[in-house]
Amino acid sequence: MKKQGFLAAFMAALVLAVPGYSVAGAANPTGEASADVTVASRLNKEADMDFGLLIPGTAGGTITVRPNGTQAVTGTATRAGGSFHPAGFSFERRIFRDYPQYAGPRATDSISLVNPAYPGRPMRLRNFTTDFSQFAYFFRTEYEFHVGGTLEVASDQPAGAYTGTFTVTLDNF
Amino acid sequence: MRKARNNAIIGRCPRWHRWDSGRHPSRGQRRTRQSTARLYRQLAARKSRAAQSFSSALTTTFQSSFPIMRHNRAVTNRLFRVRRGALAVMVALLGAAPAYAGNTSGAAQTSILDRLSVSQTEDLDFGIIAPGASGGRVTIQQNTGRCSASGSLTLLGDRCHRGAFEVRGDTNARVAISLGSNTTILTRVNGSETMRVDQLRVNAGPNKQLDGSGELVFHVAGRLAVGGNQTPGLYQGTFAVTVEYR
Repeated sequence: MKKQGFLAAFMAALVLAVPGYSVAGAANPTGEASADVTVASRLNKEADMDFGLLIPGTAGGTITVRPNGTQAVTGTATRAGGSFHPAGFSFERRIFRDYPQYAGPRATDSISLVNPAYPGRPMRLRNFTTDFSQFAYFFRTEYEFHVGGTLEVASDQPAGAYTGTFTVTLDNF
Repeated sequence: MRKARNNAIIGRCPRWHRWDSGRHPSRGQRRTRQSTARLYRQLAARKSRAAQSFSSALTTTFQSSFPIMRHNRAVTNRLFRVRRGALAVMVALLGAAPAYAGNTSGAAQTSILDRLSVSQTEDLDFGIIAPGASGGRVTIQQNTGRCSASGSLTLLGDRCHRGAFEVRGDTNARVAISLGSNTTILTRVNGSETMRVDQLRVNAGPNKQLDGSGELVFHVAGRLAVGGNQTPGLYQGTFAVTVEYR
């Protein structure tokens, strides 16, 4: 009996833990009402990805910001100051309910950074990397991770400010 | 007795019989080859039924979640039925559960700086010098541009002045100015006589900031050593200036 009681409790907990489960009730339509329910996201952005001030040089090149904040430069492109850091995100995990998995952007994804003065001359941001680790958050409710990438700089890249956006997605969250 | 002893099992008992110590759990008899073989057949049939109904992973999970402590066929069957029902509920719920995903937008940003250009607008000029018997030095103050002569030298006219450079680049950008060397040698045109310039410096230090138009003017000064009875003539030399964003 104790085992069966435990089993029943387990099944009840299982039912309650699965959102979207509903029990069909008697149909007695008398009207119609609707509501938009917005669930506050528990995934927050802490910092944008920033490459700072760049100089293309004579041949251009790439600037990489890694999730740990270090840099890698190829070609003649060089950094000329300004802030330099990867994008940062944080989330609150509900224990026994959320088992988030990083779903992108990934190394194969790319976006364009556009200078409004030269919309036809974008810069390509590719090779996204992250330090998201499923093992690291297992015993934690608050977790922060970072996303880096590689920016391609053309030798004749017009001067000015470039911006672009990307979407970070966590599955099972 | 002999037959019973021959039929007694001496070896590893099935997992479900581990609690038993020599007695058949369901009948209270000693285990024999026949009873054990029958039990194995029952177990095989039970596993076969389980495999048809449940995935192996879920079966493993439930066996570990609900360990069978006694070999009671009625209880075992009841537990199997309960487990089968629970698994069906679990599979149904997992299948019906929507896939949740959280996302948020991040931005990437950078600024490309204008290329820096440097042009010399005025030469560094120590002016017209009348040498004396013992020579001396002509010094140009880096911040004020004031020229002065020492020793037996005399400066003629007001041609002496600092070198001037103009930089163009990104508005309000910070730049660092460096000289390849703080010395250079001037050589007489159409001759081989030389004079040495040292203490080449940039006015107000090497770190500067371009203005709101992206422009900057800076000066370079130094000190010229003139020998006694220096051969008259026009002396020329070069020095390198480098400007970088910082």
